[in-house]
Amino acid sequence: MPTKTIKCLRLALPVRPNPKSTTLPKTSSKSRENIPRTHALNVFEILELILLHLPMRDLLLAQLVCSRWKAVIDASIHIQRALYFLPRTIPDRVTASSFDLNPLIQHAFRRHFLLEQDDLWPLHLKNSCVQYTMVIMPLPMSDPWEGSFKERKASWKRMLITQPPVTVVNVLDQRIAPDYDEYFNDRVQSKEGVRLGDVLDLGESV
Amino acid sequence: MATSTEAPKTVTLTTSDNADIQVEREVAERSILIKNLLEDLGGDSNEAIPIPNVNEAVMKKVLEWCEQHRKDPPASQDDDSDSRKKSTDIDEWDQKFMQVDQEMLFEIILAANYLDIKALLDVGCKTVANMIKGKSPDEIRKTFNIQNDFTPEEEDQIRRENEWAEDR
Repeated sequence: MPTKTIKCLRLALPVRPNPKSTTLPKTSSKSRENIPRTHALNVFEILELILLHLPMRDLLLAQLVCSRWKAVIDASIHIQRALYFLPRTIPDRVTASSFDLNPLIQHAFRRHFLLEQDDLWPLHLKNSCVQYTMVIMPLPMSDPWEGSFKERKASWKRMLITQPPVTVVNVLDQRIAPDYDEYFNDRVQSKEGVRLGDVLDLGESV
Repeated sequence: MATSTEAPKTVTLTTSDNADIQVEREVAERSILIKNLLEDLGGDSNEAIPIPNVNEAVMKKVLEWCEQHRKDPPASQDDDSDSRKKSTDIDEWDQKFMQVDQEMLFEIILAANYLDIKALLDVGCKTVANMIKGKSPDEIRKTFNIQNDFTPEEEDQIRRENEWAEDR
């Protein structure tokens, strides 16, 4: 994906001089250099493998470590899939258990809505077109949204709701129809997979 | 293998610091690199195999792991690494094995990468991942002696994009 590569280069290239270390290191007074560590963490595949073992929240935080870690996270297709930013490939045969609900969304939004897999009702497999339905059910007495959720570029907006991605999500708003299980207020479709930003609009704060 | 009765049971590996290590072929062949080298040389070679990227201390450690795991089934096809569970569970023996200082840990990772021993590379990377889990970015930098090279604006931007995910 060319855009990714360019982004990676842009992030990886600038060498920012560290004002404290512009003078040459005096002897080897600084803590002993761990050369294998530096060497290993500089290998893209090794850092990628390490990061792939992290849960999503730690993976998001790892972007803050340094520009190189951020660049590797941005450039790795596998990590982008682990973060639900890029779709996993859909297997030839799918069942309900083929889909993983985005665990971070489930956890972080747990006070605001339930994310449930609906029973396997419209599940069609027609020429790789997978239809799947889920219910997002805002809780009757949700907490007020904290500012961090409303951040204009908040990363949850780009996150797929499931992996592999579902193409249809039904939204049931209990505040409108408390007892009406059959009634969906909204139906969100996206051929590339439904992202949480397609379903939720919290307004924006800049 | 047709020549199995003729094939030498041990091989000699010459490390970067010129030490010769004798090891059973089956153990050495946990390394795909060595396995392929041996196959290329044919079954009857007694030549020492040079391993120029790995020193004796690290090679011995790696071979200790290979010995323990000599009967493990070959690594499964690397087809769908995305659906792989991000489990950081490590079996007990491997956990003990990985109780080494950071320098040796990364030496093992580099060696496993070079020698193409996927399962060992995985255990090493899991061990490092366990050192990262639950830490703040600053704690991670301290653990691995990494310089924060972001501008305050860049750092703030990434933080704001992901603040919603913080545990509360």
